[in-house]
Amino acid sequence: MSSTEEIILLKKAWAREKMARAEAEKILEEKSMELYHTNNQLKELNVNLEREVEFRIQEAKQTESLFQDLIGAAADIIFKTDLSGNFTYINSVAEKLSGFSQESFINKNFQTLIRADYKEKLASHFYNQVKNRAKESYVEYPVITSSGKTVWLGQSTNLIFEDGEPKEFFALARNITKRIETEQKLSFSTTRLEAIITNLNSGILVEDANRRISLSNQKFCDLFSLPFSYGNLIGEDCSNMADEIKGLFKESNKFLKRISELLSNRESVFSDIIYLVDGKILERDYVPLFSMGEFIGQVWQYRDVTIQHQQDLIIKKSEEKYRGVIENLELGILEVDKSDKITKAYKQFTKLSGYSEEELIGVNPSELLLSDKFKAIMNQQVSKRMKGVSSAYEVPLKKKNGDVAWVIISGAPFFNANGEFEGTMGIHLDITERKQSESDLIKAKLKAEELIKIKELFLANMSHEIRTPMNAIIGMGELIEKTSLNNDQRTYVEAIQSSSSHLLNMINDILDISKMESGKMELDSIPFRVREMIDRIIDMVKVKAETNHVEIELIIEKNLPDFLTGDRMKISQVLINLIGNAIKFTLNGKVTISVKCVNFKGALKEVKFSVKDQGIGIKKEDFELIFENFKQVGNSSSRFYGGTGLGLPISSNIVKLLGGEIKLISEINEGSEFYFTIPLYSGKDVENLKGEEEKHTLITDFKGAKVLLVEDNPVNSLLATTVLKKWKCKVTAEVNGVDALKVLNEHDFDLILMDLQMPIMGGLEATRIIREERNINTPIIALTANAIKGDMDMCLRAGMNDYMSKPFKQVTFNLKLSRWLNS
Amino acid sequence: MKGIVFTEFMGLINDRYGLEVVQRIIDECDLDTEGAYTAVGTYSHKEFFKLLNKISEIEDIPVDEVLEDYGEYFFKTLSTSYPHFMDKEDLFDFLMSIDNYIHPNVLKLYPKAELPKFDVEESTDETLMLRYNSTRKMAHFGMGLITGASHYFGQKVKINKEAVSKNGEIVLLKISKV
Repeated sequence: MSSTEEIILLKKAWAREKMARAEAEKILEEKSMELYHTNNQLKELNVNLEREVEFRIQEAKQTESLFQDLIGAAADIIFKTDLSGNFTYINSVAEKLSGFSQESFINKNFQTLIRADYKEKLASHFYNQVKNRAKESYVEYPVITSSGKTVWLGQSTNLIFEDGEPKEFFALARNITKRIETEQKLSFSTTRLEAIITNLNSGILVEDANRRISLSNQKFCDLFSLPFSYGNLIGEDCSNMADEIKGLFKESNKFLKRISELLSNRESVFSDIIYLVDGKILERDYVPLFSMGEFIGQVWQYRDVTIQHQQDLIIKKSEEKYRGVIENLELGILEVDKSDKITKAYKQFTKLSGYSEEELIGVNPSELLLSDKFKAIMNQQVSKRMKGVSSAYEVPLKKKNGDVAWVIISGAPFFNANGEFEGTMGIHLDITERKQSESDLIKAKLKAEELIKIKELFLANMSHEIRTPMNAIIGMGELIEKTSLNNDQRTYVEAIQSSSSHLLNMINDILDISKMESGKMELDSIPFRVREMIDRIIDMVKVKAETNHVEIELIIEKNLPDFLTGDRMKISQVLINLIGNAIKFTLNGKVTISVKCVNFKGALKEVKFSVKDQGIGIKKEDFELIFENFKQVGNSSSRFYGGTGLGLPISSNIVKLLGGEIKLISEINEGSEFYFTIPLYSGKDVENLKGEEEKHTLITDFKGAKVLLVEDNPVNSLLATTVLKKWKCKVTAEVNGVDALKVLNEHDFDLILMDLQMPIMGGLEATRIIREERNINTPIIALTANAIKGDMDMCLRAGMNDYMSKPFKQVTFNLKLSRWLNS
Repeated sequence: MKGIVFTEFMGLINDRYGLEVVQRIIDECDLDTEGAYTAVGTYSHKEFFKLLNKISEIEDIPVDEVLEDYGEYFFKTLSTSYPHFMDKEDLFDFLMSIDNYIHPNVLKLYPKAELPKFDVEESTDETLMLRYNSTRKMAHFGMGLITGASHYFGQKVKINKEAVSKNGEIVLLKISKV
């Protein structure tokens, strides 16, 4: 490059530099001016700013001191925390409220003061506030003070932002402990009240003063079959409710009228009874509510008392029934308390005693109504009743008018619900009339007995006094008959003979009756030939039989022994009567006499005597009549057939005495059969026994035979045991039938000696059981003190084998033993 | 674009290629300012790119290399003119202060200045990832400045373009200590 070119280049560069410097200087000039103006403005601003700052500082100071005053004087806790809850500021109220010093709060965390159960809730509360960027929030929570007490705070919290981001909390907390406690108490009592009402077993409706329902329960809806739950009722207007549900009630108009009556009276009414159409019975209470004298509402309570009501009704009905029964019973009833004072007198008693109920109440009944003699008896009874024992006794009561009323008093104690003795109930049956007739009867009986004695004496005299002239008449008659008489005279004498013989028969009959009635008839025991006895009877009635064209047939069975032992005269008397009757009532027929033995155990026979006719027969309804004294069948029969009417009754009594009974089989117009069965010893046996006893040599060794002795009398038992042991028997002694049966369960015996009359179970019953139920055939010999023929019969019927009367001779005892132990 | 960018660039051309080349690019670029620049003035950036492309063309050096060279050159000027910005412990410390401290202060002085952003993406003791972001697309100028700074703090580093997007508006630079 040449220097010229270099100079040109440098000149150009220099020109550029000049242009650039000029521009730069222009820019600098502009900037300087700008700076100058700006500077001037700044100076001016600065002066204003200083003043403004001064003023603002002043203003801020005033505000701050006002706030300080406010914060210091505030009743509320004012504090600030950072977002984590650490206190950065707190006022002095916190110290008063919490008991922690104001300084101690700083850097303490808010959460440390909160009651444990609320910590989580509060943490989430503030977390949400920050998360939602909520400027304000309110929360109530419990804190624990330094002394451990709970204080409730209600806190407004402002979230403070800086540069649009949450920075800290500013909070105002107020002590709300009193309000919370009041609320809790209120809530508790409300809850409790609601719980009580909900669970009550009666329907409840609580109305406010404007008749709006404020409380109810399910039971209410159930009682009235309302188709919804009680919750639906709350707040409803009641003023039309009664009208709407009136259809549920049996007397709906009465129900409405009563409701409006209760509402206008505003007085508590309990236990109104209401009948529902569906059969329910409700009990209603109405209670108006007043607060400080002002009406604030009312409570209705309904209870279902259907069941109680029905029970009450049943009880009432039953009470009425029994009251009716008691009033109509001819029983005078008194209720007496523990101190023996009358508490109630029933109508019948006032009628009985003549005293009114008012006169009787509070009076001691013994003092008023009894004579001294009966007071003692009464006192005994009263003390019995005090112990709760019922009793009955007869006493005479003094009536108000002085008369005496005999009563049976039956006293029964009654007790209260706790089972304690409350008093007694005395039931009085008026037996005055009965007492009267009793005493009449006693008098009559005494009189009758006296009369009987007189009659017996009279008859005894009669038998002697009448028989003597009768003997003379009959004797003289027989003598006259043997003299020579004309026909007329003979006829007269025969008439006298016949009449006097009839008269003697009648007298004998009458004497027999009186003997039997006075129990003086005695039985003989003499051996006789049966055939001979009957032949004699037939001879006696032969003439009559021929007159009536009656054929007499005699059948004696072969099994009948020739000889029998018994009262031949009595048997003859019965047979004469029966055969005589048979002939008397049979015309043109046959009378059959039959005798046979129907039972042949041992020496004792049962012998059946029968007399059968072909007469007019006897109606069934008259069967009993004919055995009664002085009675004959049909009014006319006596005149037609004759007779005293005493024959059959006498025969019947004699047969009973002999140990049997006359029985009758009869058909009208076909004839009758009279028969009887009596026990008789066979004559041969009796003779044998007597002979055997005479020639019997005592057996002194029965080789350990086992004998059961059943005898209650210790002396007899000892006597028998001693004798039996002497004869080498093994004896088991028992004192009654039951014990005997027991021992028979376990042991076998060769012979049983059985007393008849024993306590608990007698010999007859024991024998029946031994034979029929136990099927034991061991021989049984009866031992008895009653030497009556009937006994013998009963023993044999019961299944015993032999019979021995006490006291027995050793030879007889030995003979019986040898007979039954050897066979 | 601030005048200092132009004045220093002319200084660089002058130093490297002489006054003749300075005159030539001014002549060939047909500039409104006729190449007269003052550091306190403000000029269109288009003029700068005309000058830049021209020198690249004349000397046959890629634009990026010219820019890197200029960056390193320019840093010397800055470090001497504004020593209070250099008050940092080391290179990484300094680089991290660009966005936070240096540029905010530049803006106070030149409110209209359009400055690139240098976000720190990742930093360890050994490496620093910087995200260059500017519509001027002059990442290589930045790389030159960083090289200049590394010489200033006496710390050898290796600078890699890790990624480029938006035609060079955003470039991820990895600076590793050597």
